[in-house]
Parts: sequence; C-alpha cells; structure tokens
Amino acid sequence: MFRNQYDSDVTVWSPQGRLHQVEYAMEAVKLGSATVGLKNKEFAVLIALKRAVSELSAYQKKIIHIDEHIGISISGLTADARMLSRYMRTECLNYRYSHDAPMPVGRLISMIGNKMQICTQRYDKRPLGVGLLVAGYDDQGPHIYQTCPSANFFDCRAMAIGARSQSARTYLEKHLNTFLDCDLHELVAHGLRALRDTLPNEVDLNTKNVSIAIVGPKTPLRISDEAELTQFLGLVEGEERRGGGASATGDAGPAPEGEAGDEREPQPAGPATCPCYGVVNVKRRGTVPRRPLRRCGHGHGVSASDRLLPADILEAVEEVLKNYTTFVCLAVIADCVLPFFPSRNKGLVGGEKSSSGDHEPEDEALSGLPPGGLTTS
Amino acid sequence: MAFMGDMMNPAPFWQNGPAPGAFYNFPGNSASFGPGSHTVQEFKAHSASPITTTTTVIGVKFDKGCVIAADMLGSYGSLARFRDCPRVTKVNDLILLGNGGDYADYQYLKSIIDQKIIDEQCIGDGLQLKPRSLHCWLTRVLYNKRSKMDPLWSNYIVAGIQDGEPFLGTVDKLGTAYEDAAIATGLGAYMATPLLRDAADKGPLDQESAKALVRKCMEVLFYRDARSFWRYQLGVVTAAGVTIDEPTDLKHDWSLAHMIEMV
Repeated sequence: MFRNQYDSDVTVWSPQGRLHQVEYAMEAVKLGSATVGLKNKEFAVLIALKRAVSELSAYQKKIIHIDEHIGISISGLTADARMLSRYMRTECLNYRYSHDAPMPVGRLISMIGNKMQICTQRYDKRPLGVGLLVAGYDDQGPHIYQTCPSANFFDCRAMAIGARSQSARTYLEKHLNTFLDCDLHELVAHGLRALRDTLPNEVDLNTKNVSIAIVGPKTPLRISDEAELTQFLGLVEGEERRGGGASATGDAGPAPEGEAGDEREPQPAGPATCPCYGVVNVKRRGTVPRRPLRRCGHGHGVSASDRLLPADILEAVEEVLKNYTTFVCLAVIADCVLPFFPSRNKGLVGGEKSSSGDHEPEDEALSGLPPGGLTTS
Repeated sequence: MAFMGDMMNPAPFWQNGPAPGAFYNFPGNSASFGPGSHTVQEFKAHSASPITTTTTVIGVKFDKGCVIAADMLGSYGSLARFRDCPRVTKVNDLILLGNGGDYADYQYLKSIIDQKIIDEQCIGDGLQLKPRSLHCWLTRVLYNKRSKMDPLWSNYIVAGIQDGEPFLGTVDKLGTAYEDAAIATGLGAYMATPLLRDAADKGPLDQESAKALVRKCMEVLFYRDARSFWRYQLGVVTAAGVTIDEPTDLKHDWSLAHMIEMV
C-alpha cells in the first residue's frame, strides 16, 4: 500500500525532489512519547515522558547513559535507538582508551550523523526511525543536540521531540531567553512545564512516568532517582496548566476509555478522541474485537465531533477499508472521500486543517502505526 | 597419526614469544640469531632495529610550562652522519614534542601526528588536542607496534599545557609511559635526570632557570655522550603558546681533555 510510486525505495526520488522513505522515517520520531532537552550556562538537562505498553508492564526507559558526560533521550523505534546508543558508547570508550579524555560531544554527534546518513542513500538499507536528544558536557560547556532520521543534526539551546512535542516547543520558544541564566532547579522546572504541556488533561507528570537526566561541570551524567524526581516534580506541582493540554489525546499511559472501548459499539468519538479512532472503530465493527487505537501518530491530537464523517460516508469508507490491513487516518479519508459528496463537503475538513498547525496533508496518507512488533518510546 | 605432527621434534609452544631466558625476542636481536629462529616474519626484520639514530632528549617542568631540548645529530651507527635533524617540534599551540631514537620512525609517526592535527583543524570546532591525549595516543600506538614485534624505535617526550597546568610525559618504544617533572631519555636518563631532579628539588623553577638548567644538561651530555652534538634545539611551551628557539651552538672547550685518563 504505497502512497505513490516513488516511495518504494529510499534511493528513489519523487518528481518533487523528495525522498518519501526518509520523510516517513521522520514520522516515526513522532510516534514516541515526548522528550525535552534544555541547557543553561553550566548544565544540560533531558526530561522524558515514559510510556508503559500496558498497565501490567513497566515504563519503557527513555534516557540512556552513554558516558560520564553524555546521555541521550530517545523518541521513535527503541531498537534503532539501542543500536545507536551502543555505537555511541563504543565510540566514547574508544576515545577514552586512545586519548584519555572524554569524547567531545560535537564530534560524537557528527559521527552519528555520518552513520545515519549512509542508510538514507543505500538501496539495501532503511533510515533509522529514531530521533535523539543528546545532552552532553565538555570543554566547550553544556550541549543539547537533536538528531533526526534524515541524518540532520542540530545544536540547540532547547528542543523537544516526540508525540505532540509542538506544545513543548512552543513553551520552550516562549521562555528561551530565560534559560541561560536559570539555576539548575529553575531549568528542570522549565523542562517539566514544557513536557507537561504535551500531556492530555487527565494525565499528569509523576515519578513513574518522568525521567530526568542532568550533566554538567563536575557532575557526571545522573539519571534522577525517585527521591530526586519527587523533589523536581515538587517544583511544578499545583501550578496552573496551560490550555494546550486540552487538545491532546491520551496516549501517555492507559487512557480510561481504552479498555471499555473494546466492548463498545462504534460511536461518534467524543472530543478527546483522534479522528483515527473513529476509523478504527469502523473497522472493528462486526469483526474480531481489537484494542482500540488511542492515537494515530499523525499528530491528530484532537477531534471535534464536527470533524467526524457522517454515518453514511463512514459506511462507504468501511466498504473501501475492508481491503486493507493498515488503518487510515480519517483526515486523509475525508480528503479522498468528500469530493464524491459535493453537497456534504463543508464543515468537515476545514476544522482539521486549522486545529493541527504542523500538520501537512501530504503526510497523512498512511497511518504511521509501527509495523508489527516494533515498539516505540 | 600425521595430525599429531613430528613427535620427536615438537614445534615450539608459541611463535615469536620470548625465548627462554630472553625478555624480548625482536627479530634482529642477538636472541633471535641462529638457524632455529628464522621465522616467517623475517621480511620485516629490517625495521626492528634502528638505523639512523638520535640520542638523548630532555624535558623539565617549570612553574608555568615546560622546556624540551635535544641535539640535532643523526648518527649512522657511530658515524656522525647527519647534522641537521630537528626533533623538537610544535604539535599545536598546547603541545611541544621531543623525540630520540630511530629518526625514520620519528619522521613516520610525526607525519601521522601532523595529519591528526590537520584533520582536527578541518573539523573546525575550536577544540585542540591536549598533551595528555597525545601522550596516551602515542602510548597506544607504540605499544601496538611493539606487540606486532615491529616496534617504532623511539622515545617521545610530550610537553604541554593541560587545562592550564604544565604537563610532561614520556613514552618509549615498548609503550611504557609515565609523567614526571623531569625526564631524560637514552644516555641522558643516567646523566641528566640526576641533575634535573637536584635542581627541581631545590625549589620551583621559573622559565629562565629551567632553560639554564636544560642548557647545562645539554653541555654535560655533549661532553660525555659520544653520540651527541654541539648544535641543539630548545623549545618552551607555556600558556602563551609554543616557541622553539633557533638551533643553538654549544661553546665547548676540550682543553681539559688531556687531563682525562682512561684506565
């Protein structure tokens, strides 16, 4: 099920000059939960939101220790991140062995960039589906770097990646000029607030789902234990939350409507449901019950009920979807289907465009669901 | 039973290891002379002993930096063959490097170090190789070569400024490495180190007294070491950078020579 004929292979250009496989890989980063990195004059801090696959499982590790002076936070395919982190650890160790000094952070990042670039150019490889935030400290002070599956990397003052990280970036941009002169506690508090802006209303940060790593002068990379987490969370506890959370869906932690949805008949999804949710329910009707989808990975954080397709059009969509195993995002369906219903074509797609700003119609074609078995975090 | 080999004439337990009673078994050494010791890797035996050699290099720390000095003679055996062999060099703004031993091996490794510095400048991140890193790297390289039974026949003295503090370390051809406040290699280890340590023990040196001390050592070595030479280089590294003086000529006076009697 290709979007078009130019995305079968990473070495194939589209006539528009795009490499679709690389762009799809960039989408994989948005499947992972959000993570924030920021720095002041001395310290670099990573703050990550951890997810649990089910209520029975532990929260997935998001921050990986690379060396005394470098740590990474991951978003995207965990397996790819583990491969990269092993490479980074090896390089840091080798540098210590041969030069008796910690690896300069920028040099490690450019090596990672070179490594990731190779698989955007060879027909027998695929781009890595993971984005990293790298926090490090070296002779030139603290660093926050962001890496992408496209093999770009960026030296950042602050950055957030992962699901619904746009709200965190908005927060970071707003407070960017204050970070440099913060002390460590204020810095962590800013990071926590930024991360909290990515959460749905019914979820809040706690010691279980937050992970914090700090690195700085005479401060080897430290991933906070529960006591320190409690202390840091206390910094932002009880603060009024920004409105941004209202538009988010619950993909962080099991959302309450999740399990109940298994028994429910499909119905127009409520305000806290992604458009894709409706499609999934359609698919489930009369077939084997599946775990409901709580998010689509397209950044469709919201669906107002006016964006759902009318029931008769849904029927038509269901007919089409029978042939496919991959779920399709509703926004795309609306784009595809509504032209056939000219009289109904109003008030349906418009809301979609305005409510998710970073959302390009081009990128909506397929559900970004991870292929079978690959976990993201 | 062919797979058991010749039972009456067993192969040695391992190849290329130290022969019984010998610490080292480099090809070309007296320990490996004789018909039984001609092994498959004899093709590289020519590189396992020094040809054109240089002698002592000495280095000493002072309060704000380090001094290194070495003469400019390249000896071919006992023949004073080449008289313009510079072997005190600037690596970058933080490191001064001195060498003694096989001159070709030094030129080889120096070209690698120079390329390392060029590569680093090309990265352009403003970071500079530090003396401790170079010292460690040299240790790894030299130890690796000796482990292949093909040592680079050299002693190195690395002097520099490590995070604002003077650094002085040495590596020999086996990869043995240490840091000290005063270092002399080769014959100088026997004749210059005591002089350097005596002076250093009397109190902290400043730049001028350190240079004077090193010049005195060069003079003593010139009179005593038959592979030494009256023209030498002296380099200083401080936080301000690396300076290497133009080659200096020792004032030597052999009028006392007739009073020395070899018994």
